[in-house]
Amino acid sequence: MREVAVVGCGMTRFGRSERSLVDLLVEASLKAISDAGACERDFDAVYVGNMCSGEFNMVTGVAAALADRVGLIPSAADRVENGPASGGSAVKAGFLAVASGLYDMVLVAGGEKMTSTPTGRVADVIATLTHPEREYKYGATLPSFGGLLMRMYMEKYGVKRESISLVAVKNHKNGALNPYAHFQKEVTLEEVLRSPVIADPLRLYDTCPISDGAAAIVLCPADAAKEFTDTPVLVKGVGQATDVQSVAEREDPTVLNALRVAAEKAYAMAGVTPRDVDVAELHDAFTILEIVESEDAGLFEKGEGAKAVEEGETWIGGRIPVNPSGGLKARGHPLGATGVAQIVELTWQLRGEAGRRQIDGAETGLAVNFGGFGNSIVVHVLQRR
Amino acid sequence: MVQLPRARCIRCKGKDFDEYYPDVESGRLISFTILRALPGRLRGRGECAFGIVEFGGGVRGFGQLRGENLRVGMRVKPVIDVVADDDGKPVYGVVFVPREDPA
Repeated sequence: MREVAVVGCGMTRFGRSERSLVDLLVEASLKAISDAGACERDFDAVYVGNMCSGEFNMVTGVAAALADRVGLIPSAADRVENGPASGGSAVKAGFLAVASGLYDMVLVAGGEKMTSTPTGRVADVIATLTHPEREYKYGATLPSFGGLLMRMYMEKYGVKRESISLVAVKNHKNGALNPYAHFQKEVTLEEVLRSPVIADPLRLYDTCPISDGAAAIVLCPADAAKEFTDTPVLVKGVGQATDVQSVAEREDPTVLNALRVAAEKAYAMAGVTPRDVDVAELHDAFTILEIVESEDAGLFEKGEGAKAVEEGETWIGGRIPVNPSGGLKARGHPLGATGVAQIVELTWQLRGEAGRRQIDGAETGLAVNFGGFGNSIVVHVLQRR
Repeated sequence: MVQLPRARCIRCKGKDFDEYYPDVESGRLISFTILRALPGRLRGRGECAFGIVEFGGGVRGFGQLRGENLRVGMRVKPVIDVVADDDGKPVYGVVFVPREDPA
């Protein structure tokens, strides 16, 4: 396999937008292509990560539509769907295309347009990723599993919800430094703890918002990167895995086994260990998920993830900053965009272009994109050349 | 190993399964949540509790939950009742209710 480099990246501001899904994808794509200095170049393929264009927007064939709009026809085009990990899976698809030698110039975009659909319907549609007979039938929603996981974790490891909700405080502090974030305002722990109950013990501010937005990257063989940038970022490791779909059936529902398997593969491919990670973008759809993912990605011992947040280790300036972008909580979570936005943030970090959020000297970055309710996970490891 | 019905075993890919019914008197609640932000199929309720229950042999089930003073570790038993509304059609499923401790 060839080495693959990210040579361009860009994103829209995440939040409420009046613009259509395709328009958001166009904006992010043009930014990434321009960032790569590749405006005159033909591309071999366009991959679009998106979960619900049909259900939310009555739009399908969105990858081919994007290729048309940004003048990239006759490139190949595919939409990639893996629930909330659609973006990560689209990045992996683009990586594979270049690594295999089949394609040389690939655009990967991720986007979602959610705010034009009523909130209740958004939650209903997302819930369709749960087990149809054992979970969805009962009216289970993703927040209900967030609440179940949070309580189970608190009981098993003796952790209080204050420690878990601190993740929201950290991520809002980071989001306030990110001009692309949905929320750019800090919140206090008190505000998080007192916010309305969604699925006890999960509160509103323990959950990420519904957002519109898109992000995009340009991939090419590492050997060709210097034509586009002096600061290529290499996709050194990729890992992906699945787990039992029904949460109750999992051996230990507080363990994301799909993440353990995917992370191990990604680290092995990159030739690194978790201790080498300088900065991580994890999938904090709920505050408890950042805690659990930080453990199952090997950054902390099981049960110690919340202590790490309390002790400042995962804040900007700490030993292993997590979600300097603001994460899903503050940066926002347009479903298909998130996995690509994580790569955009890591690329900026590894290039030294992250402005006030910069993690000094960051050389190795980790991205974890969570699909299903943790039963389908995509992991990427990026390194500065 | 006990698993949910599926086409092939996740461990050995075999297709021959024996049926297994857990001892429904042995259920304990290992986690629960009270959902306030309800989906369309639970229309008409103010909130809905869900639980993960573990039976003897480590078998677990998921379902709705009824009862006051819910707490992890409490004894519950499954009953079949209406759990949701599918555009006016009632949907039946497992509801866990508190089980009295034996005298």
